[in-house]
Amino acid sequence: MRQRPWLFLLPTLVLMSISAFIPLMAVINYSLHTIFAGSTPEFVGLQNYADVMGDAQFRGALLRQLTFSLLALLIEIPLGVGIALCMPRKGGAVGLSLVLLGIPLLIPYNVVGIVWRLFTQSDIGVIPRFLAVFGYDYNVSLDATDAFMTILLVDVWHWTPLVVLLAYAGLQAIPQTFYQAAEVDGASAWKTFRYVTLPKLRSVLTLGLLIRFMDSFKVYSEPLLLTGGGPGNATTFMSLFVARKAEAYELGYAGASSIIYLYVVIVMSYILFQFINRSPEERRA
Amino acid sequence: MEWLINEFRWMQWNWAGTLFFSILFLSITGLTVWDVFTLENRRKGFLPIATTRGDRFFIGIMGSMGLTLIWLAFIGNQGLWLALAVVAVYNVVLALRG
Repeated sequence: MRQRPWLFLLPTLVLMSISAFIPLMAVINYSLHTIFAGSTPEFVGLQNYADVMGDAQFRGALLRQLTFSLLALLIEIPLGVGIALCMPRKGGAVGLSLVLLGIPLLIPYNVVGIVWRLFTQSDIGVIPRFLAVFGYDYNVSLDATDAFMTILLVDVWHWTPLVVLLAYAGLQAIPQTFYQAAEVDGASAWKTFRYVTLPKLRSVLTLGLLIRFMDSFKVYSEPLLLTGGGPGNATTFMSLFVARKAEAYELGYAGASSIIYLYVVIVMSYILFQFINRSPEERRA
Repeated sequence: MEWLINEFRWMQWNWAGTLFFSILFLSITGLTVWDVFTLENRRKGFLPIATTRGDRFFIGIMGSMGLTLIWLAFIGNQGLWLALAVVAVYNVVLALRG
């Protein structure tokens, strides 16, 4: 039977319909209404989308989010690959380093937020005290740059280990014969990395890049617990912005902004994926 | 039918949403059936990447949404029929030359 694969796919498709498509359909339907508590929903077409696109707060949150995601990727991917290259390849130290790297990944988001809140507390926190030694007056609840950079630091601390683990798995899968051939050809360490290691890590890094890009767009608990989105709106990222609108029971507006938010993630992930996976001919063109 | 309407009232179904999802699901089903019977190779058009029918459909939907959002951001909620015409032209060009 030629169409047998579809039968095998059917349970997954049904499950996805329930878990993803139905909520998505509901959100799109909500985004076309004005809904306030206690009143009958009123169909308004694309008015909520027009309101969202004209809202300076939304544009601010989106720009902040894009800056945050770009910076997080620029730091986490090279750092992750760098740490993976430095890690031991065999012996007892391998297990120990993998366990140590895995610890931040095991800590729940809320706990991360609370722990870092203690670290950054202006009176008792270790970070303000440490920076005060160098004469820097660090204050996460008053200084917008401090708050933004702290959320970025937390994200780097929490999620670089994921990139390390992926890159490490990719490095272990590269056959030694490639390195031996490079050595015979007299390739320098940089050239070996550039022309052997990096191309072989391409698929793993694509995966890491996409996971981290999409995940960085979902940053929520850390700014909520650490800074509450402030000072001002300095750490109000997209998820926090949408959640606040939903909490205020502006469901139509929240629906429209979350659909635009989803749209940005999908489009940027697609562009990123296509850019990384260009064929050699496409890259030359 | 009444039971179905009552059970899914929370989803706030409306004619626009129903039309949108009906066209979307019919298009996806149609493309899937088309692909099962006549598998298409990738082709290179004006887009910077080689694409299949499915790719162009996806890029079409994403582009349509982008164009509508740009229209809403700069012009607002007026003249949306014109925006729809622009989107239709874009999709036809994409399907034929993309």
